[in-house]
Amino acid sequence: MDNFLQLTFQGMALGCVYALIGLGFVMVFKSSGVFNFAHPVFVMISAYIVAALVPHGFGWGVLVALVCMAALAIVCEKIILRRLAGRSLYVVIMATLGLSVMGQAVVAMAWGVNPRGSTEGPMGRGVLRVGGVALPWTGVWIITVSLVLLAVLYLFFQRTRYGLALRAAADHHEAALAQGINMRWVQTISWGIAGVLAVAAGVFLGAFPRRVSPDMVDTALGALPALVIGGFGSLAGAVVGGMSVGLLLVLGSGYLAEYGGVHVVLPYVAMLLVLTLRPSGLFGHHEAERI
Amino acid sequence: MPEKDVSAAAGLAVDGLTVGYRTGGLVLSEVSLTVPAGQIVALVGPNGAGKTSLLRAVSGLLKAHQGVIHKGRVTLDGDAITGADASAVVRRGLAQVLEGRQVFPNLTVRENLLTGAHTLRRDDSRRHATFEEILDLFGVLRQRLGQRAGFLSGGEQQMLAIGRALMTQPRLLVLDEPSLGLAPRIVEEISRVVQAINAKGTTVLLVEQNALLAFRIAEYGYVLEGGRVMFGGPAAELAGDERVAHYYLGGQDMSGRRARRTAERTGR
Amino acid sequence: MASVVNAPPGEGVVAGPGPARSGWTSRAAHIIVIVALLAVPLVSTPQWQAIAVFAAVSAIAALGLHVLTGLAGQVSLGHSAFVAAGGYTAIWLGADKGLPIWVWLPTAGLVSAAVGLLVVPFAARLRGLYLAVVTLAVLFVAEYLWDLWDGVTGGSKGRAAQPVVLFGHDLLDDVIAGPFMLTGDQQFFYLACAVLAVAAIAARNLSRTRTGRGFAAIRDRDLTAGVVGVPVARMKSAAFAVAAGYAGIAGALLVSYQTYAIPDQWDLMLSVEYLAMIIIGGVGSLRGAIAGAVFVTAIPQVVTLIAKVVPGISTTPSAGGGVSVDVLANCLYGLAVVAVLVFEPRGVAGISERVVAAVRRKGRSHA
Repeated sequence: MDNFLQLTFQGMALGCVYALIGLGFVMVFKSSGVFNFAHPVFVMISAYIVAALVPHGFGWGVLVALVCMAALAIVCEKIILRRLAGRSLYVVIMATLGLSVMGQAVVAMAWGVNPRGSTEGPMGRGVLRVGGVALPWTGVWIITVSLVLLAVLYLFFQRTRYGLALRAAADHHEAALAQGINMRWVQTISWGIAGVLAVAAGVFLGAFPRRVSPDMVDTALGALPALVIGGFGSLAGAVVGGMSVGLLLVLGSGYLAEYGGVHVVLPYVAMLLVLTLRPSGLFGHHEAERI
Repeated sequence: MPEKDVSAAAGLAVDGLTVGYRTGGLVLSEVSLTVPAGQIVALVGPNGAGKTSLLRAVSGLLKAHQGVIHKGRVTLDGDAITGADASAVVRRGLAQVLEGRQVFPNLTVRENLLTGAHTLRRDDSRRHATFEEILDLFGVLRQRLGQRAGFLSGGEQQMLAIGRALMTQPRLLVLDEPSLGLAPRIVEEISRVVQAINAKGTTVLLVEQNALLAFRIAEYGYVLEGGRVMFGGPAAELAGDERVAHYYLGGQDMSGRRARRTAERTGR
Repeated sequence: MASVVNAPPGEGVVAGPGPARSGWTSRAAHIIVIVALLAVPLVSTPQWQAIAVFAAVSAIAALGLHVLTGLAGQVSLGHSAFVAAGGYTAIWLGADKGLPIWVWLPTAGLVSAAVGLLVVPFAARLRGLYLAVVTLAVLFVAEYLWDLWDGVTGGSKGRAAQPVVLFGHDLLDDVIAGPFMLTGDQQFFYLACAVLAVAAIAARNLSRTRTGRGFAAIRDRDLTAGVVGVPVARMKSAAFAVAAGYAGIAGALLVSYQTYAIPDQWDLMLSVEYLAMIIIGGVGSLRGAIAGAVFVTAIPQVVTLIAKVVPGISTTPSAGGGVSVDVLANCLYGLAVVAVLVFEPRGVAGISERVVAAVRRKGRSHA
């Protein structure tokens, strides 16, 4: 039982990370129509930057990562992806995959392919004991900070006029233009938020198995089945999808260890099941809190 | 040919506008028209005449549809807005109500209206006053402020779309087929509202397929066909003009025309 | 125009992949190009011979994507899973059962096509992004299965693959006849080219059939195609099956040439490479798909040559970082994909058309 609770806790922590990554995909997709397959690489690069700078101070690492992500997002969006607006889906997918390949190559040049450090920083390696259950402090931090970020994001969408502009743009692009909403701003803000979410996700993912490595790209891609499971486009959907994937991964690796790496494919299998039963995702019909 | 005796100093002036889309040929060639400040001007024409393209070119939405202005000039109160961004055009005081209403379906009525306030400076009292004015104009929206716009009826959505545009405090309001798909009673109400808006000093460019309605409330009218302005003149004259009747009205049953049009749209 | 029609054969080489010209000059130009390309491995170094084989084999898989994406407009991130399915079918039949190439090569294609039909329940109902994510799921599930299914795949360590034996002769053994020698690589190259030629002709003919026109219909207007009577679900299924079939045949040849197969090699990067081939070649162009395969396959070797001149590029992969040939090659082909999409969406096919047009203009002005 303790083991189960412990794994569930870990799964929820990982689920939070997937919710953050998934929201990064959704923000950009809803505002600019670009489904950014390079987002997992943004997550990985953030983790590498923070891991490299942890000896000089965790805060510096996060700051530098934020600046780098902002610069990267601006370069990608202004120089490349804006020119592809209105082109077919495979063009956008392939362009972002091309960026992803380049990003991975650059990381391999800078840091090699071996795992590098960890990003836990001040989160520490200790555990919090609640009864017989040992909860790692990293997990506590991940869940707390993620919930705070999600709450801030929710308030931003519901209470500020920029949030309203973003929701309007996601709801009906042309009507938003006709209302005088400045799409450049909407897109810049969306990419910016996606960048912040990528940094947070990178730090958490690099602290969670205590390893920053090129595998993070495939790990971060797990946010895709999470999005499909939760249904594209709602905060609640992203959280539910992320939690499902996090729990599947952790419980799968805990209880199905004898089947090799089966936990890695569980989210995808679950996604295929959801698609078979409910093509719009679990939350697809539920369109409240859309972003 | 349009008469050019109307002064272009105040209001909207379109001069020799030639527009095309990247995917195809030209949709407008050498279109010129003026919408003098304070008036209601009607632009009528059959499906495919280029009415919506003209509005897109004026309001800055053409780029979003892969369209290009090849030639010509658009000025609003004397300032050139040719090819300007949609948000810049709205800030200059031109608001457009899109064809088919196009409310934000997942936002509440209140939020739909507040998107219109996005371009205003943070002048809360003015914004609040406008908000109240609009709710006075469209009483039905006041009861629905918290509802999601997607659940409103067609007529309510049209009122919301007009109200939303008014929230940007425009000097010129452009309406693209506000009567489309609405019951006659609602259409009457909308035309009453349009006249009321105009009476408060907002210039109106009304684009309609329903020429009879448009010429009834407009002071001046243009007939667009095949991407060119075929006729222009005082609305009362145009309504009685046999050439216009021959060219455009053709004695056809309007509702039949509209049904065909709707069918074409769903096919796309 | 006269000067163009009577152009010397040398110019025809440049004009190869351009628009078809009329009459026998066009056919002659084509034959000269093809013969020239076929002769390349006879005079090149062993490294380039290997590149030529990999390029020809990859081109077969790229043709599958050409059908799927170029003709039918569907996106697949799971192509390498189908290549693997063909590869392991061939290993099982060829290496474990000892069956000859006449059996394992076509069966690899058929089995892979059948595996491709697994996507059908989803392909029929989903479009665009969702379908792309489903193909990604297929890829990851397949990757796991290859790891798990060690009876056939050898597990994560991999296993040896079947040789190509024709008339009792192992194709990878060198043939020496007096002063002439045909290396194993050269022989394998000609086998791959023969299969590629059949595959290319089949793909070209497919695009001219009713099915091919149905593909074009679902590519251009998915929803409308259904309205006008094109059986959208069946067309998508057919496209996925054909693409997987091509992938399977390529996979059978690939593992045979490699002489081994490891589960790790069938990853997302490989799928992206195949996609890069058709993008760089120019989506929708059959010759572009082949040219793109050559381009992407040749990049590492080109970078190796560059590394000999430019200091600071290590020729051996290093786990600790630094600029090495393999990562630089990856970087370059990612860059090529992005550049093509932004600057010349018609890829190599588009560029060569421009070159041909420029050459013609020049010829005309000189005439």
